[in-house]
Order: sequence, then structure tokens, then C-alpha cells
Amino acid sequence: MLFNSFTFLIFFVVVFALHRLMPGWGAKKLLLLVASYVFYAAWNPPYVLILLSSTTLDWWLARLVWKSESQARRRLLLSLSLVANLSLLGFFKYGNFLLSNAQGLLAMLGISYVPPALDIVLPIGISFYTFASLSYTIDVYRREIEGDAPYLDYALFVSFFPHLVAGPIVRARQLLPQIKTPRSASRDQLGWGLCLVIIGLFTKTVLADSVFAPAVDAVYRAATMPGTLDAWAATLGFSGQIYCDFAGYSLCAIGLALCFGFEFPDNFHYPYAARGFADFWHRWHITLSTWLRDYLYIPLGGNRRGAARTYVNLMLTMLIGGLWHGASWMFVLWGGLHGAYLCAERLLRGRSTLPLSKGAATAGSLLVFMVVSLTWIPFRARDTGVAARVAGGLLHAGGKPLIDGPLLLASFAGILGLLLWQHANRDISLEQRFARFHPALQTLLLGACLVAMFLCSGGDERAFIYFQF
Amino acid sequence: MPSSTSSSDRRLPRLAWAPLLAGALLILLACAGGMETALALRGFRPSTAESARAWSEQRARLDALGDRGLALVGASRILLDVDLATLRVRTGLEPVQLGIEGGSFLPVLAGLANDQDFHGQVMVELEVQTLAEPAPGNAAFGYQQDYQRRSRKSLPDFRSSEDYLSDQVYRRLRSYADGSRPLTALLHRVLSRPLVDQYLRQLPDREVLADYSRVPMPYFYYFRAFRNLDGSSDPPADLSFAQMDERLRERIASLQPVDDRFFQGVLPAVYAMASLIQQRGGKVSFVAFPTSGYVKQIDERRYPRRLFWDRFTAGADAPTLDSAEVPALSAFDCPDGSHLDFRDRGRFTAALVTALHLGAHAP
Repeated sequence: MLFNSFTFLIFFVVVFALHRLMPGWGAKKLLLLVASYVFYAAWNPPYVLILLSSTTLDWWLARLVWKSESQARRRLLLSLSLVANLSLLGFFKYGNFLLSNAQGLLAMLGISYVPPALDIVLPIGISFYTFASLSYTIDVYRREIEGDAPYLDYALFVSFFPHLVAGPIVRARQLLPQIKTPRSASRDQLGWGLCLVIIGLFTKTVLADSVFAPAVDAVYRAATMPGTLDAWAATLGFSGQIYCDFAGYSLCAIGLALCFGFEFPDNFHYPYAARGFADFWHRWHITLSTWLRDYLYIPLGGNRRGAARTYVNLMLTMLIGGLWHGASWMFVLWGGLHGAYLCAERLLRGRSTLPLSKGAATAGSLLVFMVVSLTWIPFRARDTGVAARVAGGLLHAGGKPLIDGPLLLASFAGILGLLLWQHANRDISLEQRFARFHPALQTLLLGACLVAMFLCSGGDERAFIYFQF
Repeated sequence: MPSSTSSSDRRLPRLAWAPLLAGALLILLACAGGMETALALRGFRPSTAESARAWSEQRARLDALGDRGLALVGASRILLDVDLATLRVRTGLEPVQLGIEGGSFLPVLAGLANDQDFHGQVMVELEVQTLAEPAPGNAAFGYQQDYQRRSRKSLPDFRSSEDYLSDQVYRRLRSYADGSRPLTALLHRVLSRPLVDQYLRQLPDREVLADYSRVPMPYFYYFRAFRNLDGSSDPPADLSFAQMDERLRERIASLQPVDDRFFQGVLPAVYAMASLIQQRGGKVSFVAFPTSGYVKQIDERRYPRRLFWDRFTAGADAPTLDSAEVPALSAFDCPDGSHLDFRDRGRFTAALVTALHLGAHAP
């Protein structure tokens, strides 16, 4: 179920009330586990079996890895876990993609091959819970954490509903200790948690869905090349939409977890105020980029095996990161472009040690934002034709207007406001910013968020973009 | 690192949370209450919003009714002109409103024809223009697909509960009347005087009531005539009514019949759909609903009777009825040229039942 739904509101109120009433920590955990499975089943009930089997297998394998003294056996068990998880992901997420590519490849060799039609429905959140689960077995294998978590704790770690379907990708070492220790939300956790949920829902339903999405959809769905203004409104607008959509979801997830006394890692920290591409990835989808860093880039050798190997590792990590987002070459292209930016930045930074002036840093930040925005084009476009059309429109004077005047204005004003906000706050947290406001202004701001959500309700309902990943 | 990543809550803001959150909630309630009051003062009433889901529910109800069901298929005329209560009493059947605003009857009739379990009665609003040109993107195709998708589902899911809950909220608040969203209601109904008051009201069984006493006449009539003529939504603003009459007469006189090749090509498929239903024991009738004034003239020029209606009836096995041929039906005036006022629906429906010999035990 979506966080921005009446169903979830009722679900949350009931679960929260029961959680408060439950007498013991074990009962509270059981309640949260059952609630999380109900939450997941709300999309496609049979798919809870996939979640359950993946959870059980990883828990069991990690336990064997932990108990085993033989390095060969430990490696074999870890490999089993990796193969099982990645096979699951590969089948459900990349099955059709692999088959169609095999078909194309064989056709190039003159071999006619018609793949079977796989009517696969992607289990929602599989990319997120697979990565969360893998972090446990890998960390146990590395002996960074113990592999003796009780099954109930481990199942709750994987399935805890605030992070289950779209992250943040919480690692076992972050959440399992919290699940182990009895806890209930303090007044500040509950209060700030609810504030985050309100701000997150506002960011998603008002900014992403009502301010940015209409202009973006109008251009990307059109069959004709957009004019310059429309193309820029859609390109910059999608930067706003995807940030507000995913950051909004992450705020909701962090806020909901806080309401139960759990603390999740942050997932975004004003990424459009980044002063470089490496800085951007320290601020954008932080839990994924750090996951890829720790479980892919560093095991590949990171920057420890010479310059050339470092660039290869960077590119590989970003290409796989791109593919993680979906079974399409467009995502690979997007990841590859970011990999190339990181390599180029690393190369340039290595040759210059001069500190940047504030003006140059701001200009650099805007340049990074523009490049990141242009790079979202292949991410948003369903194929190269659409991407080329939108990219061509950026320099295409004329063309039939595709976006209504008010929506065009909203898109540009929205992105300008977002940039100003992010630059003004790039070095402080949302908590610090909010706490500095006068109490009356805090109330007014939250009230305004609620009113704006009411005004924008009832239109096209859009799922969170990252659910599809 | 921002505080929500920390393992301690010491960095969380320490605020007076209860007044803060209660104050925000009060602001929301005050604004929403103010909107509702302002809309009520302007005469708006809550209404059920049209949706594919509501249509699918009615279509599923028809499945459950078996022989007792009478499906009403078509577009806005069957939605606005037919009174379900009168139909229920006069026929002994349970009518199910499957009309779709601006919808083609083809996918719906095809769905009924291909449904081996359906053997009830069907009244089809035959608006010949819906058969005159292809309409692959017509809303009716989406509705039919939505119904088929829903009927395949064996387990209730999030969508079912959310549909139910949102429907319960939206049908009770004026801010969502007619499928509007509150922002639209604020901009076009509260902050500015609406061009047209709320004159349509959809009921939970998908009946739509049109109250033409709530619209500015004759402006609204001209609005409809110009829209039927060229698809534009507004009559030229600088013209007097007399000038609009003159403009409309000139434009109508210059209209040519539309190409009838697609119409002729699609007829066998329509006949086949009706035959399939009748072969299973069901009954199908095709009805041309009344029109008036300029709308009628436009239709007569574009879709001349000899090229369209007469050809359709000549090949149809199922009963057909043109309201213009039945004095008891043609006597009704359509205030906007295309639909009846809700006050006339009962009498019109009674006359329609008589003219069509509709009923549970009708031949």
C-alpha cells in the first residue's frame, strides 16, 4: 500500500495503537512482523512467499556461515546466498530483458530464436530487500557482525514495513541491534517522526506529483519534438520530480520508523547542492551508493590497485548501479554516464589542488546540477527515440506547445525554489533547520503542508517512482 | 551526518510537539471546513465521482443478476435520459447503468457478446457517429479492460480497500464534487465565480441527473451547439445570440455528410455482437435518443438518416427505435440540444419502455 493513501493511514493508526498496547518486546516485534507482511501482501498476496523464502534461506545460510570454521565452506555458503538472491532478482527483474537481448544477439548471428513469453510481475521492493538481506550474509561472512540473530528479529529486519518496498536500504548492522533491544519511541522521536511523515508526503504528493510531474509527463508522452521551453521545463522538472518523489518517500520511511522508536539512515542530503559528482553520490540515494561502495567497489579493489583499475572499478560500479534501477539499457546508459563523470572528475581533481572560491564552488555546483539533470533524460525516457526527442528539444526553437502556461511556470519556479532551498541548507540537517524556526512558523509550515496535500488530493494517483526499482 | 542517522535521539529537535501538531491539524480542518462552507453557499453538493472502478462494479453486478439484468449501454444520453427507478418498476428487470460519458458502445457490447455467462437484456444507445469513425483511444475500451482485469483477480488487495475508502471520503465532500480535486474547486468554484454551476450529479448507481435550471440559458445551449459543431468549448465571445444563430445556421448549411465507409465496414461486427447475445437467450435493442435544435440539425447534416440509421436498421435482427419516430418520445425537449432535464427522465423512460415493449416477460 502507498504511504499517501487512506488505507495506509488506517493501517498505521491500528498498528501504532496495538504496538503501544502490547505488553512485551517480543509481542511488539511479532506485531510489527505480521503488520509488515500484511503491508507487503496488500500489493500481491502470493508474493509474500518470495519474501518469506528469501528471508528464511538467507537467515539459515548466514547462521551456517557464522558457525562454520572452514573458510572453503564459508565461501561456498556465501556463494549459495549470493546465487540464490541474485537468481531471484535476475529471474523476476531481468528475465525478459535477458531473453530479449539473447534474441537480438542470436539474430545478429543469423540464428532465429523466439523466447518464451514470460508473464512476470515484478515483486515490489525486491531490489531493496534483496540488497538489505545480502548485507547480512556478507557482513557475517566478513565476521563484521554475528550471525546468531533470532529468526523473528531477522525477518523483522528484512520486512519492516517502512523500508520494505523502496528503502532506505537499511543494513543488518544498523537495524538488528535496534530490534534486539526493547525500545519505544520517545516524545521527540514520535513528534519529529510525524513531522517527517507530513513533510515527506507533502514533498511527494504536492511537489513531485502536482508541481513537476504534469509538465514532465506532457513532454515525455508526446509524439512530437518539444520546443525549447517545454524541453527544459520537463528536463529540469524531472530533476525536481524524482528528487521530491524519492526523498519524500525516504522521509516518510524514516519518520514512520521513528514513530516506533527505530532510527534509519538518511537517504538524501540536498544532492542538488553538490559541488561535484562524487559529492552528488554522497548526497543522493546514500544508502544505495554506500552499499555499492562497500559491497562492490571496495571488493573489486576500490582505488587500491592503481589508477587504471580504479577507473574500471568506478565504471563497473556505476554501470551495475544503473542496471539495479531496472532492466533496460537506458538505465545502464545513465549509470555509465555517471561513471564517466566520476572518472573525469577524479582525473581533473588529481591534477588540481587549488581550493575553489565560494563563487566558483557555486558555479561548479550549478554545472553539476545541469549535467545531472541532462543525464536524467535517458533515465526517464523509455527508449533512445524519446530521449533523443527530448534532448533535441532543448535546442529546438518553435514546436507546438505541450505544457500549459501555469504548469510551465510551476515547473521552473519549483526547481528554482528547490535549488535555493538546497543551497541554503547544504551544510545543515533538516532537523537543525526546522528547529531554528519560530514555533508559530513551525506550526504554520506543517499546517500549510497539510492544506497543500488536501488541495492536491483526488487527482491522478501516482505510485512512488522507486517502487518499480 | 544528519541526526536521523544517529543512534541517539539527542540531536532530534526538542519541541512542544502536541501544540505543534495539533495546531497544524487545526489549520487543515479550518481550511477544509472553509472550503466546504464556501462551496455549500455556492450551491455545490457532494457527488459520486465517475471512474472505471465504479463502472466495473456495475458490470460485475450485471453478472450476478443473470436473466434479471438489463444493461444500459451507450454514452451520455443513456446516462442522463434514463431513470432507473422507472425502468425497474415498469420492466420488472434490474437495470444496470453502463453508459460512459463520451464512450463508444462497441467495446462494452463486444464484452457482453463474448461473455458466455451473459444472457440478459441490453439497451444500446445508438449514436451513429460512434460507428462512423474509429476510436481506438475511447474511454470505453479502458473501462472494459479495467473490468476484465478486476474480474480476473481472485484476492482482494490494496487497490480494493483504497478504492472503497477514497470513495467514502470523496462522495461526502463538496471539494471533490463531480470528480474535481480541491485545488480545482478552490480556483474555479470558490475564488472565481464558476461559468456554470454544478448541474450534473452522479449517483452511486452511476445515474447522472442533469438540472438545466442551474445553467445560464441560452448561453449553455449555444455552448453545446458550437461544441458539437467543431469541438471548440466556447462560442465566440463577441457575438450576440442573434449573431450566434446566424453563424450556426451558416455553418450547419455548409456541413457535408461524413464518409460512411467505416460505418458500413463496422456494421457486420455490431450485428454479430447482438446475434451472439440473442443466440444465448438474451435480448438487444438499439435506441436513438432524442435531440433538439441545432444539435439535431448538425447530426442530420453530418449523418443523414438514409446513409446511417436506415442502413443500420435494414440489416439489424435486433429491435431498433428512433425516438424521433415516436411522438411520445420526440415530444421531449432537450434543453442543451442533446440531453433531457432530470425532471423529464421518469416520463421519458416510461414512454420508452412502452415503445420498446421492454420487460421481463416481453416477447
